Amino acid sequence: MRERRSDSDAEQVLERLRSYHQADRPDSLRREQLLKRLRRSDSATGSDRARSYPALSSPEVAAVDPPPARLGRRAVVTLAMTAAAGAGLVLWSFWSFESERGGGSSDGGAPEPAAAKQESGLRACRGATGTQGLLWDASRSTPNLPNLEGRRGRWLYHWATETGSERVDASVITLPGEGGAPTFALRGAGERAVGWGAKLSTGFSVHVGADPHEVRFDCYDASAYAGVRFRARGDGIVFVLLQTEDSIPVELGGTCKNKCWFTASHALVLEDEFRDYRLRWDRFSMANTARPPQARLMLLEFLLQPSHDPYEVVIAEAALMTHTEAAPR
Amino acid sequence: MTRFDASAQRYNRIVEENLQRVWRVARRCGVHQSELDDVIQEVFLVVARKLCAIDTSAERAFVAAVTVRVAANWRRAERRRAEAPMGWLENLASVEAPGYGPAERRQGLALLQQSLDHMTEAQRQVFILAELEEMTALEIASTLNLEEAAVVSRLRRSREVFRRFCENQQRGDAIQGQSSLGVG
Repeated sequence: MRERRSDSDAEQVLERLRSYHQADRPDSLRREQLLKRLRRSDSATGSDRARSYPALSSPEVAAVDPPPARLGRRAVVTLAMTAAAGAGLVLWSFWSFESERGGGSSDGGAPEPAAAKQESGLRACRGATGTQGLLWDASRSTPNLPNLEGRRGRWLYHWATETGSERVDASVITLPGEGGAPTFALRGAGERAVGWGAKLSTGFSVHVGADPHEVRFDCYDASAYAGVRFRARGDGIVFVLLQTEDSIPVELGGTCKNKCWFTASHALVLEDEFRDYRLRWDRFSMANTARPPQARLMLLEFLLQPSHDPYEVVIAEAALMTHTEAAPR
Repeated sequence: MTRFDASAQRYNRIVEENLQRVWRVARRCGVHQSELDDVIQEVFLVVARKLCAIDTSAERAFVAAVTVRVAANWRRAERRRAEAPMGWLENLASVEAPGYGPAERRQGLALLQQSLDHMTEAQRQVFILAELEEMTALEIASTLNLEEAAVVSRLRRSREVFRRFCENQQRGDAIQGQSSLGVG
């Protein structure tokens, strides 16, 4: 009898608490802010459209000639993060590129091609020939970018901290290869990603001044290629970013004067095992530029979102993708 | 309309229709105010990824279930970091529930949160979905990948925890000569 009364009281209480719960909602301002953050770019207008969200795809849809992008909405955050990286990316200005300063090619690469034909009103970009797209492969034991087709740079790992950001050369880890021979991979990892997150990135044409901290990027025309391809594994989502002249601040060699670092991007869900990803240029959501990003590239970045959990991204191979490689199989 | 447009429209509709639900469920799961936006975003990221696989008739249940899971992950991460306690009391200021005064509502949500904190993670998830979001055991079972019997069992135990919490609360109220539960 007493228990029945207790049940009945509990029911009464629960009913009232349920009504409190169901009426609990963000105030209208917070709701609008949240909706703005969550909605897809194709329904956004005005300035939101400029910050278009990257397409999100699984490895399967990232493959050659994929179906239409499924969606993407975290981009505002990415873009916000990338913007926050404005301060952070000035860290590029603190990066030393000693290895590039000599400018020698250790790869016996082809002669550097002439600068691409200059468009009206735009400075000329060094151009790729479309035959040697390698950006990293498993035979390399240093984070230097192969000096091919005029590309000069180094893979770096760069992460936000509570007070700013840090950067180091990307770790090169050893993986077991076929027949027990070691192979190498680039790795970025940490216990917790804060702020704008963490990223592995490389410039395509980096110039270091007399002071190694004085770094400027030149644009690089990768139009001769169909996109980028890479072999990677990791935890969750990574945003592949094509930083262009339009998204890089003037002081670093770009043309951007405000809202910098908002750039063409594509989101992928990485898996525990290595998978091959191939992204055509047209898979990148455009932001902050009216021009195809591949024509005026400055940086290629793999950006990880802020996370409470340990995170990791490992890249075993990366290259600009030829049209043959991009052709449907 | 392209497939992309269609999925974009559907996604946006799901966001519009479920934002409030995700908000309140995340709060009941103890997500800190400062983390709420990120948790909500993570929920809708999962929705975006799984959009093609979500049955139109099960969107509400799917979103609620994803929310309790994402929130549970958040709680685990929070425990690992061993940071400050949940601080849910400071989270209780949002719009007023119609028909209830601010103090009454605030106190009610605080009590609800206390009762939920007495439950295990598994019990809390099922209790929130069943009793607060009024989902059926079958809906919960399918979205949380559980046997229906397991859902029923967890719900029974969580109700028992809630009933005991109410009893204890009333006992305390009786000593203090007031009713925080609004009954008796």
